[in-house]
Amino acid sequence: MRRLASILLLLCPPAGAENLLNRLDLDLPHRSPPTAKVMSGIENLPVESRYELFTLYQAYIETVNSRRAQHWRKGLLNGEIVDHPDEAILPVRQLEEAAAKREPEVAALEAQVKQEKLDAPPPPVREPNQTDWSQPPEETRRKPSPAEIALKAKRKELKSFKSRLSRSKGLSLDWSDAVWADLQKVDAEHWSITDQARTVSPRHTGAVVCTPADAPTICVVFDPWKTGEPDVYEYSAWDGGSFENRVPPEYMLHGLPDRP
Amino acid sequence: MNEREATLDPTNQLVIIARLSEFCQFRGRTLNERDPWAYMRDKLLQIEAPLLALKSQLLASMKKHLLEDMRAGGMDDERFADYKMLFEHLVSRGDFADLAIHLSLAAGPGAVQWVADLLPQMKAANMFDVERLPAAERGSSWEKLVKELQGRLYLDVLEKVLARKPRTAKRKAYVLRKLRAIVAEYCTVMHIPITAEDTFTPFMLPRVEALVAANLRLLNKYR
Repeated sequence: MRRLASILLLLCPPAGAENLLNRLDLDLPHRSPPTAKVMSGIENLPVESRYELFTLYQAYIETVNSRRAQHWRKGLLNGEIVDHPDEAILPVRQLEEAAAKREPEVAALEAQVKQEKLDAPPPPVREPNQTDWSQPPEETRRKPSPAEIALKAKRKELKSFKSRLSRSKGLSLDWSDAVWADLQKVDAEHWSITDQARTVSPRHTGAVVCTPADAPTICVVFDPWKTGEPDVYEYSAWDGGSFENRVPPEYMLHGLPDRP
Repeated sequence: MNEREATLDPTNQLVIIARLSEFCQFRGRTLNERDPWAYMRDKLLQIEAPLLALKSQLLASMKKHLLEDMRAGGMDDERFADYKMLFEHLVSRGDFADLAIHLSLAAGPGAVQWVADLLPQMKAANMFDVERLPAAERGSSWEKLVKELQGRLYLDVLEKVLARKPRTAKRKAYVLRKLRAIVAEYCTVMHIPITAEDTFTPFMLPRVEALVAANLRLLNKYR
């Protein structure tokens, strides 16, 4: 038991030890307090659960890197984007998926309209032959087919989503939604992933990862909004509005098993 | 000990990171070097001095703070455990065993004098000296840590690759390329110390030592 405790101490530096280091005479601001409790909790989990957390963290890094490559901003606030007063702000990932879903529909409708025109070419344009001026003029224009009507509506929807996508990207709901969606693809068994807002105001969102999945006792938050880096925070402090209790990235990368 | 000795100089960490960076970037860095094996081994050996200097400065500062806290009183077992955890990584096994007995409330009020007598004689443990000892004399916790790093860096797989066929220059170059890529990936968490978040944590410092030791064992074994 003593050996196990010493091994755990080796792997999980207590908060006090880090604070001792903070007293060193460095001309630098003090390091944020580490999350010893959640780290020691993670160390007590089975190997499969810890490996799954490592896999989730790797997926998280990929997500953050890909979104930063798309020039997503960090620390973007709702007040910095121009939104329509009647339309709720949708996360960027959902807008992208909506636009991507409509593009093949538009292409299919365009092909259908083209085929209709080939099968039944429109009649040549003719001059209106108005002889009875007491009656309304004759219809010279062909009525649009149902496919043409659907195509016009679908193009309008696609244009609407693309214009909404032109806004600045990097709100907390953008980040949390993108991270949540990519973590879902990992299909974790031991960890539950939810896109959750804080209980305190402002209602900042993050991807909360908890274990066990059915009765969560250990929770961390994958939230890259503040720094644009794959940061992991302790849940209780994050929920209270703090960005201080960050799990060190070296622990997430090198302290968890990288093989099952 | 004067105030200058107790101040931590981040440049030692900078030198360690620079040597590791050179270790990971053989190509394009050394037009005059023809033997990458010897070059990479030399870069690891050059880490000894700044690593020892960094640990010595950490130890000096820890000694000062421990004595201040013990003389001020009000220490509890949790605080003693924090100090024990830090000292365990900085001093040798024997010195740590001598010190740890006095770092608890059960040691009584006389422990302050015992600690004040022990601390000036303690020096920072040099990982390179530990590696020069026979395998049976090294500590089990150190061996466990190095073995963990060997698995983490896939050095066991690289050893199998080297052992399968004769070690030609081409095969060794292939293994070294893989080794550089793996170590560079492991070291992505290390940064030039500009902010407090960039300094080596108590979690990372022993792993840096074990990283150097694990790589040296491979390079020495198959030289």
